[in-house]
Amino acid sequence: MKKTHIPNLGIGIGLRTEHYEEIFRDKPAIDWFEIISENFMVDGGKALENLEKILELYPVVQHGVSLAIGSPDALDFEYLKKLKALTKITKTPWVSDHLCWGRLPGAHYHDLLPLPYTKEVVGYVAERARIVQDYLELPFALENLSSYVGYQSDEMTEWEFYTAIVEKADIHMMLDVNNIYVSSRNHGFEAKEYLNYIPVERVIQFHLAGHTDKGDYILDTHDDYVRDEVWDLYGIMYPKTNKGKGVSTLLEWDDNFLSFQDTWDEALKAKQFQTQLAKKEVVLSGL
Amino acid sequence: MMRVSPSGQPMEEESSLYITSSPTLKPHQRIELYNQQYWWRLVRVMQENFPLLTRLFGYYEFNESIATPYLLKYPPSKWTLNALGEHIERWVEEEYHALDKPLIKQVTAMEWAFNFAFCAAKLPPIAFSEQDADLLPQLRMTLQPYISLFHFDSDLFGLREEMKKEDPDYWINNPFPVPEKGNFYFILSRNLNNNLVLDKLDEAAYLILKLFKEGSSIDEVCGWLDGQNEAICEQAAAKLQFWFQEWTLRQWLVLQV
Repeated sequence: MKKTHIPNLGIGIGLRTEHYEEIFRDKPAIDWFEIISENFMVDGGKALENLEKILELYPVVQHGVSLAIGSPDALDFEYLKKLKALTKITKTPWVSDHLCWGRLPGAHYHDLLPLPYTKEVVGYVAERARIVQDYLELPFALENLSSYVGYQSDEMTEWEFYTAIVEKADIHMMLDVNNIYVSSRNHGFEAKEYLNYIPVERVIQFHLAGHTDKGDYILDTHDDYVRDEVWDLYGIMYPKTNKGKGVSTLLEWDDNFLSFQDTWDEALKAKQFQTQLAKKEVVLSGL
Repeated sequence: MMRVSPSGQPMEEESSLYITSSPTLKPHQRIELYNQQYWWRLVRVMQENFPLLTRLFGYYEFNESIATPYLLKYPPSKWTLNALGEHIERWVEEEYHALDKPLIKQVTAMEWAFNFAFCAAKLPPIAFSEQDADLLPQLRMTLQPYISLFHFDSDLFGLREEMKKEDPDYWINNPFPVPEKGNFYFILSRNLNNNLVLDKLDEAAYLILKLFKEGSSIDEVCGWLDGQNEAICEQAAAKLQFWFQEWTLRQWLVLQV
């Protein structure tokens, strides 16, 4: 893996218009914000003006939803050009998007559709991911999905698939532990088996979020508090990342919004796990 | 309702050829989750982008009569959801045939303009002081891309603002506000803080700005004025200089390339 310095930015939340008033008025002491790249890949107007105000105050990392890297049509270089132009404005230390498909020629589904876990798709996606990372000239990370279907054609598990792609492409992982939990319930696998397999040295960021339990399935709604089971998975993984020093953590909350302060309080719960890590460091340093 | 796959086979049968069952759901039920999310997401964007239209119809009728048939004919094709409603005016022209079509045409044009103006580019405004004074009258100008002009026979913008004060469900059981009738001329633009701004215009100002929107020079505008009726000429004579100063200060005028 190429040695690129990936900073640990601390704990962040997703930047949402619902919180702009509080952020611009109070300038809260938050470590960083994650933006949805596509919201700011526009020709002009208020969105970009607000982004510039945010950039004066906080580090920002870009996270995309429309790359659809596993789609069967050619990579969209008009899209990538705008994405790269945005990175020059934000100075984002890395760019992430999802391990999914979602486009066909002439159609964009605006959804994150899971891929079949086959060797052929591994090769296909890895090649495209390498191209994207080279083009952007920034570390590129793929996020694991929450998913609701599995395919008859699957040749391997999701974690084997995800690992094979990031290693073949020499890219990074944006590990969403809520998505691992949601998928584990929807597909009937053990979440900890997923965590045990993946190469922790490639994890550069975590996502945390809430979800909705519908009984027969879990829906990844990003509109509720992080469940204890998800905190457990985060607590298992976080101390293993960045050679024990941890990586950036992001709380996603995209609907049924709380106030900014309440959202930030929820994100700050992640510090409990960092405190555990810090306690271990104290113990280890005395040995 | 038994769903049918694109091949014409029952979804329940065909989906199992490609999709596995989960511990709790059959293949067609799993696919259905994506179907639900697809429509929920896109219809919600349409509701947010066309708030007056949603209130005129109510959620259910808007979804059934406008959003869903529109999205079936013009499904999303671009990576940005900002473009989702870009064909709505065309769709109304082609597919909407109810008696209130003239009203719905005006409302969709107006509401799409809001969406477009929010993130359109801003071009360098004309710096008149830097132009050769002798050539100024022949300089072909146009308006900023985010500017739209409207002529309505009622105060539709006022109606929109009034109805947006309440949730769409409120208007199911309550009478609509009655918009003021008359000739209303509006310009939708952005101010220097990139906020959307709506201004009422005199008829003459509207017509002159319309000429600039299509691309015009000062000479051409003056030539056009010569052929207008007394009312237009009087308005222009009294206010044209003031209007030009205002349009310059507000950075509305750009060089036509």
